[in-house]
Amino acid sequence: MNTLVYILILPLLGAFIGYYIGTKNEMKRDLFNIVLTAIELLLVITLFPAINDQAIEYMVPNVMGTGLHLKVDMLRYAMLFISALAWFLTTMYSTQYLIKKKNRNRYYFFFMLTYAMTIGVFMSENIINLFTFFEGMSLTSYALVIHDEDKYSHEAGKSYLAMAIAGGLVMLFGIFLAFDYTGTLDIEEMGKILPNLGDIKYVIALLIMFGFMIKASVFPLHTWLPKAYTAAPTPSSALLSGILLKTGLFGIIIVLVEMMNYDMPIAVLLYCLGLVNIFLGGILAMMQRNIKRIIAYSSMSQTGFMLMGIGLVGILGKEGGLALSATILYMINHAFFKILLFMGTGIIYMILGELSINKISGFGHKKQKLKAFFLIGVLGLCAFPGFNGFVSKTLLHEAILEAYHLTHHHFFKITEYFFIIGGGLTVAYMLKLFVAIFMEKNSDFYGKYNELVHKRALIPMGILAGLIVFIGVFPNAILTPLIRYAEGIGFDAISHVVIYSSESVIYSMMSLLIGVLIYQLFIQRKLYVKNKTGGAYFNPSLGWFSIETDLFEPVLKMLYKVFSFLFTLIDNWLLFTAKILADGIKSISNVDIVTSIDREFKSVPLGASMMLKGLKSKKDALKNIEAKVKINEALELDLVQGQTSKLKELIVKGHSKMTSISNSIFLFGIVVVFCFLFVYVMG
Amino acid sequence: MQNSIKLVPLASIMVLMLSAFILPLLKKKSHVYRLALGMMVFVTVLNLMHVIYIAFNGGYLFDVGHFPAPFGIVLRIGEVESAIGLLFCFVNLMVLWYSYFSLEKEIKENRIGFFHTLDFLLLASLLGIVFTYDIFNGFVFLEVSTLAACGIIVVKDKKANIKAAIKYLILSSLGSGLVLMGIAFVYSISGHLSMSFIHEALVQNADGKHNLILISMILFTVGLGIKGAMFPLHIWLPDAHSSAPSPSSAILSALVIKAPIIFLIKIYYLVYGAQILAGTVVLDLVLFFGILGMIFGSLFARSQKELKRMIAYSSVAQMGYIFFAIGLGNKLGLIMAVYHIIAHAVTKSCLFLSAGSFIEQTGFKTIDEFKGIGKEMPVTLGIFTLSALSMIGIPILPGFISKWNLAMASIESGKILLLVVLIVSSLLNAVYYFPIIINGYFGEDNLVGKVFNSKIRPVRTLLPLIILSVIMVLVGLFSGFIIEFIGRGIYI
Repeated sequence: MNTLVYILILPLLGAFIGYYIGTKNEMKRDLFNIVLTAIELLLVITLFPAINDQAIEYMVPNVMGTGLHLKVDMLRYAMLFISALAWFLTTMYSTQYLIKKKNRNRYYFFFMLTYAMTIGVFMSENIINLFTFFEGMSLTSYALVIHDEDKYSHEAGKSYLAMAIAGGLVMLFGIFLAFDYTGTLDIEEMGKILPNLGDIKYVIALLIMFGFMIKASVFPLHTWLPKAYTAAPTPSSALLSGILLKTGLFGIIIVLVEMMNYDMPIAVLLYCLGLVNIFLGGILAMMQRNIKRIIAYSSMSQTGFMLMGIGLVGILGKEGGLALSATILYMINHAFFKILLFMGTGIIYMILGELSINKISGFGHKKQKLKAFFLIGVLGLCAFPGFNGFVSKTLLHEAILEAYHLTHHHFFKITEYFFIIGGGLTVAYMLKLFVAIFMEKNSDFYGKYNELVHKRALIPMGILAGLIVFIGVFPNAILTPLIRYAEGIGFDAISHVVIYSSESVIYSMMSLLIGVLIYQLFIQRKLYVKNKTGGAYFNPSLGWFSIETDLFEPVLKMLYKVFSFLFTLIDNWLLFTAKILADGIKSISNVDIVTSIDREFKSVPLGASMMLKGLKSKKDALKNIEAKVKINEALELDLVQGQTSKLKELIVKGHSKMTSISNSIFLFGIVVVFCFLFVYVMG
Repeated sequence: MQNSIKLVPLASIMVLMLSAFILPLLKKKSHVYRLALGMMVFVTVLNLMHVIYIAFNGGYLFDVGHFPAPFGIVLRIGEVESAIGLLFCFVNLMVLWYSYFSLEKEIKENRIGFFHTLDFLLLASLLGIVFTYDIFNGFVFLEVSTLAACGIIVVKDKKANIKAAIKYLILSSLGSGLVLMGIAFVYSISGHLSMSFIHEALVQNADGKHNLILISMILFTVGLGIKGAMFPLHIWLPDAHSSAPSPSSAILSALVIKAPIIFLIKIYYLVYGAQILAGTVVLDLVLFFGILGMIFGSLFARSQKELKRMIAYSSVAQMGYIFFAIGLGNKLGLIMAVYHIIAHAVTKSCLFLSAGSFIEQTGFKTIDEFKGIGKEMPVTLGIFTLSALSMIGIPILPGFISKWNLAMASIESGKILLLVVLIVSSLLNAVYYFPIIINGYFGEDNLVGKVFNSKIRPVRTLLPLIILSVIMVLVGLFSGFIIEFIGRGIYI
């Protein structure tokens, strides 16, 4: 056995053991979970010296059909590390957050299962293992999203699950195709064959990436994101945004870098989608009033930056080492400050049960610790010099400039401006959030609730805040191994980058300035309505075009309607031909009887002929009148009715009769004849 | 030792047949149960040892009564046969053990001995079909199994059961008729009834008799297709499986429809052989019906209101997978057909028994009424969920392994479009299993008025179900070994 296997198995076992302990004693379960995640974190940390030099791989044969192929290199290690850290901190945080919630045991069970699955995603080298864990993660995290079990969370869960399953199936199809063309499932082996395939490789790559793009909330597949993040309990939202989002980006990196060998068209597509994400996410975040929604849309916007980074890796090809390390660093940083922000939000929600910015404004005015930690998170997110976001954004900016110098294409010059404006959007919506909660004065909250802000919730936030500042001040500590990794997997050597140069600070200040301007000129003037008691924000985006309800749903409904229409048409047509056939046969077989009734009417006893046509009920009415006329009338009536009672009854009758014994025998005969025909015609 | 272990196949058939007739003579119910379980444990252990023996020493031919092949009856025991034999005995043991706690609620008390007689006869005849190397002997066992199966449907003498049993009987007899005609054709060409001899004769005399061979093939396909619930001929299955008592349903779904398929595979590859088979389109026909079954079985299942009927239609869909696998016509496909037989047997028996448990504890029948059942019977619904996930094809569980390898097999045979069918049918499976699970466990309004664990059965009575579900997971987890083992004895 290998450390990798232990790392994978530990949370899986922990989920079940924790569940068992939880049925007896909840305190012990909480303690168990914290200790377990701490051990896992230590295990991951002890792995570092081994990874620093080269990737380690491990193969478990005969499991899960194809065997389990694990691999950890620096990219995967970085993801593993942030997962382990995030889970450790959120477990600690959850113990306080969940006190008022029900079904805690179930929550922790799925919490740990999701952990195991996520670890699996980040360690798999075999694409089918990766898919398995990825789907498992979607399913287990579904239980986290719907934890509150109210109407809203079920709706969010439905959207989340539907998109995850659809994405999974599309991805599976891509994997099938990839296997068909390459004959292997190992990602590295695939990477040797796939790039030489011709146009089919784009189909394969896009199909596989589709599933990852859903998780990464890439436009236009982001529709589940705001709902799911808002509905989930805050620790889960933190993980959804901090880690699970990264599994999607991780998958996209794997596809682009390891499988497709930096393919240009896909890279450009990702780069453009990244821009769309930055702006759409940023603008929508500015409009929101619910703080969790603001942070959720902010995740979407930040995904855009990371996607741009991934795109740059593909565009720069061999010289994309800097872009790759910048993207990985961005992913790490984003996990840190986004989890910190969600935790802060969670504390507010835990105390007030309210998320609307209008109702909680001024809550944090006098809560110094909370305010300080939150501010560090905001500054990190806004890429303020001295904080971790600054490092990754500077590197990314450097990479864009590199692309411009390499290609001299004005596209990159223009996107550089967009990049800076996108940073401004980030500043604007975070400013709105921070000012409203922590700077406004609201005497309702003075000195209240301080005792409710527990240490167990503040300690994880403190650790994260410390890390954010640490990376901001000593960026090389984390950048050196990443750059060495990039050089190790075949990128050209990277010249040393100066992070704190006057230029980079100026660019950062430009973003800040744009952000402040947007805040002053747009948010304060257009989105804020003053009234007697103070003022309130409103959200103009509520009536906007929504991709989910205005595009996906109608299209799906239309498809469904078209198909059901077609099928009923076929169905009716079948029944109709069956009816015509049956009528035809009947009329042929009835020829003699009918004519004989008409001809020899008088000689047929009245009762018998009526029984023949099933007119018994009309017997009394017919008694006194001349027989022949009446019966002819009745026959006509019956015929007309027989025609008008038509298809609908026939369908009902047909369905009920379909399974009767005599029909079964008919069917049997038809099948036998069909088989003979099939074999003789086809053979 | 070697010789005595080779007696196991014959011995298990004989032991079952003999004890079948002792059981109704016992007066006390508990004696019946004890004897039946004892015999089943005995036979299962014998078969387990037998599988281990085969794993180390390979397959063999066994002459019944020391008469060699053309005159006497020969049993052919290889890896596939021994594995299926063990599967049948094990599932039957678990179902009987489970029925220990629930049978008297479903059928009258004086029928319990009778039920066991029928069940033992059924199992003996199914083992006979699996083990035999003689085509006519197989036919006789097939008839015995049909009659016994009718018996265990009608043992609960409601109107629906009698109707279903008559329908099954009539259709089955039609099928048997075709099989008998097929045997007659084959006999007229080759003059033999033992599979290996027929094969030799067919290979030598194939010229000019192409059409006769083709006709006999179709007769076998359709005849055994009826018994194996090939799609358009599945019409007897939903009635029979849903009206029978739950243990019977589990046996019918897990075992009874599987044996004819093994027989069909044997006829294809041992009687005709891959070479003759490759020259015809019979396998394409089977593939076509398999695809129809996969899609339409699920569509029908989706529209059912009763839980057991839905599961019965799901069987139709799953049988579609098996025919699909046979129809692919390559080695991996055939291995997966056998593997899916194993996977489906354990999974479907779990599903039927847990559904039976819901019905028995609540008295409800339709799917709508089982909302919130997860709160009242969490363990049972847990087992149901696990098996349903396997049916849908969630990784690690056996259903996924089958689907994955089927996909591989269809890629191998160059029919990429079949992947779409596989994916669509998985999706359809999810469509009708997920609502039950989600409504069972979640949803505020579903859980109103439900008391946690209120209808749970004692763990003692759930033990066979739990063992079955654990075995199911193991079948998925150690699929590598199982597939390798089957692959050693597969007929191509």
